[in-house]
Amino acid sequence: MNLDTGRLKRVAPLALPLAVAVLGWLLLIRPAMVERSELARQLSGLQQRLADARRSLAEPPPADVVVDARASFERRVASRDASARVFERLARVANEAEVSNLAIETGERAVVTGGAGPQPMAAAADPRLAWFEVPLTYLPITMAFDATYAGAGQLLWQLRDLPTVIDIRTLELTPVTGGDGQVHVTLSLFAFARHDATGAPTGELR
Amino acid sequence: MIFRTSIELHAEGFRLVEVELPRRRRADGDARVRSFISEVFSTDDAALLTRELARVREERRLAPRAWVTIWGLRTVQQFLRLPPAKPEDLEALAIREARKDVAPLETGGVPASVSVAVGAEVQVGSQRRREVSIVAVAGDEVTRRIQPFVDAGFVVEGVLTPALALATVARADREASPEPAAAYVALGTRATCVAIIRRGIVLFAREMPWGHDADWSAQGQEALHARLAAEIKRSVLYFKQTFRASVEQLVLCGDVPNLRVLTTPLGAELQIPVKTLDSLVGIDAEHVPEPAEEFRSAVAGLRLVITTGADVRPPANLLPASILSARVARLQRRRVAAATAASLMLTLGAYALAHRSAAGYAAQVRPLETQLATIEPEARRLDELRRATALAAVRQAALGAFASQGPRLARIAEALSASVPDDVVLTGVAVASEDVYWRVTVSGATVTADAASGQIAINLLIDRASASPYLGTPEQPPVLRVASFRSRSEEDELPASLIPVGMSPVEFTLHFRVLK
Repeated sequence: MNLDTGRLKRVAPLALPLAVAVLGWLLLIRPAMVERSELARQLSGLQQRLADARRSLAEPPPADVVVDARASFERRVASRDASARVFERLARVANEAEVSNLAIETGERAVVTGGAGPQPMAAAADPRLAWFEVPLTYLPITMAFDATYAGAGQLLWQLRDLPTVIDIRTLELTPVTGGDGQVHVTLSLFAFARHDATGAPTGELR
Repeated sequence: MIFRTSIELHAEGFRLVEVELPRRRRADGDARVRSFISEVFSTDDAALLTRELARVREERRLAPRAWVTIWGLRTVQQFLRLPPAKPEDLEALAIREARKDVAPLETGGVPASVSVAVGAEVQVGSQRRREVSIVAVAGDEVTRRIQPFVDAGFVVEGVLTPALALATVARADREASPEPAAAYVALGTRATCVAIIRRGIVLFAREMPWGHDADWSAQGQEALHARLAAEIKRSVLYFKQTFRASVEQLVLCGDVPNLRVLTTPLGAELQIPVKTLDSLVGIDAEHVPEPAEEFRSAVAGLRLVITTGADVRPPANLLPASILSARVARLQRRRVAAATAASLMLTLGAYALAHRSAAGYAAQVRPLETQLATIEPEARRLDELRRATALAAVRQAALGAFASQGPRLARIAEALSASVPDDVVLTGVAVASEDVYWRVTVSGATVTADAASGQIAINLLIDRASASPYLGTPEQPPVLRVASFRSRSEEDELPASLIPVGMSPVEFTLHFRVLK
């Protein structure tokens, strides 16, 4: 290699300080700045956490949970297939409402969710069911009858305290042609039951 | 302010001045002299000279930077006309041309100190030539002569011969025209220097070992005048014959008493104007050093040291190359060291700043962590409790909503029934579940004679439904269709049981969104 001493002497006053500056940057300044940035980020996070914690402590304490809604839900949902009892109850309610042309049908039982904890719900199911973290199955029930408008309202009013939790999916009221104030009512609902690993018995009633 | 000590060293002694260096490289101002010594000390003994110089330097606090004009050096001076080239090439060419004459000066293996001054380009016959003046002195002799100054604590930055010092005098003479050649004479105690100078370049130089202090009394002052005139005339004649150019002026300086006396005889003999440099021309007269009277009377003798000292960049430097290069190398090392040290300091400073800043953050982080360790678990426990409470509340609400779906639908049906005016017939009510809502679609028609009345009836229905807590405002404007019957066949298309014949119905569809 051909070393030009004169050129070396000329560039030395610039090159040496530059080399010192570059080495200093690489070995000292940059690591210190990285550490500084890291600490600054850490400090900012800690300050935020502290502010959150203080705010949380400053807020009034939560009220005691008196009723265990999850346990209530579990009590209200039938532990096994309750379709027959629901069927019976619907028929009685219809009878009390003096409806005519009554038809009640059940469909295929389906699983809403499995396992504990919030789960993605089936597309048709009410998403609030996930809050209870209970594995469920549902039985679709369709009810059709003719009644007066008031009679239909009375039937709906009586749809409570059923043997299990239900979710009314659809309701249709259409005037009956020449029916003298009669309306044709079609009601569909899901009747829920708890789901176990072995699978609940299925059944279809007419 | 920067000062320089300018020293003139004779065989029998020295004189010196301390001059303030102008800030600008080419100063047009007068030289400002701060201190001077015009007496000539006996300096036969080098050790004695060193002591004397050290004493003077200490007493007068003289600037250590010094230029020395040395009389009596073995000198070779040549004037050359070389083909035009770059200055560095001209310098090399001139040294090569003068090599034979310079060689005798290189005694003891010490190279001669050579200074090359490049002048103007002139026409010589049909060719262009560059005027170059080369002056060489014995390097070892220069080193030996300046050693007492170095030992006395001076930093000798440059060395000149009297002829080169006269060139600085010519350069500083703002009144003189640079073009025609002029003869400059420095008349010393025991030596005399004649230099013919044009445009600041020494064309011819001669140093003679006699001065005004010789025993002229026997022959009278006229003998000094005559000899001086004869020597100058001889030099001028030689110059004329060699360079085919004339000398237009004679300039005198030196420590001869009453220098002005020489002007008449020399002018008469040489037939050219004679000028003496015994006034304060070119010197800052307002800041004359004390004793001022002595300075004024000695200014002609101090002229060489004053102009040399005030010249920021004298035209030549005969300091041996070895000393110069060593000094340059030392300066280079100092610069590198200083720049490196500065860079190091800056780097360390930046590191210290960054480190200090990081330490500041770290100092803030530690107490925060301690505080968090104390209060965060409790806050987390409270948050968990709040979440559990909130979840219980929404579960309770959802449970209630599931349990009351039937009655609430009954309420909706009731509210709808109560909202329907007498002029409106409902043709269908449909409820469909959508996430946590029921989408309620109400269809019907008005039983009015005209569309305007029908619209009024529909608006009444909407207002009543909106006022109900079970229905609320429709989520979008109603879908309307007006039917106007002109024939019996069109009326047949309507449900005959719902719309009496002759009526003009407005069909509508309303959409409500109700929380399940």
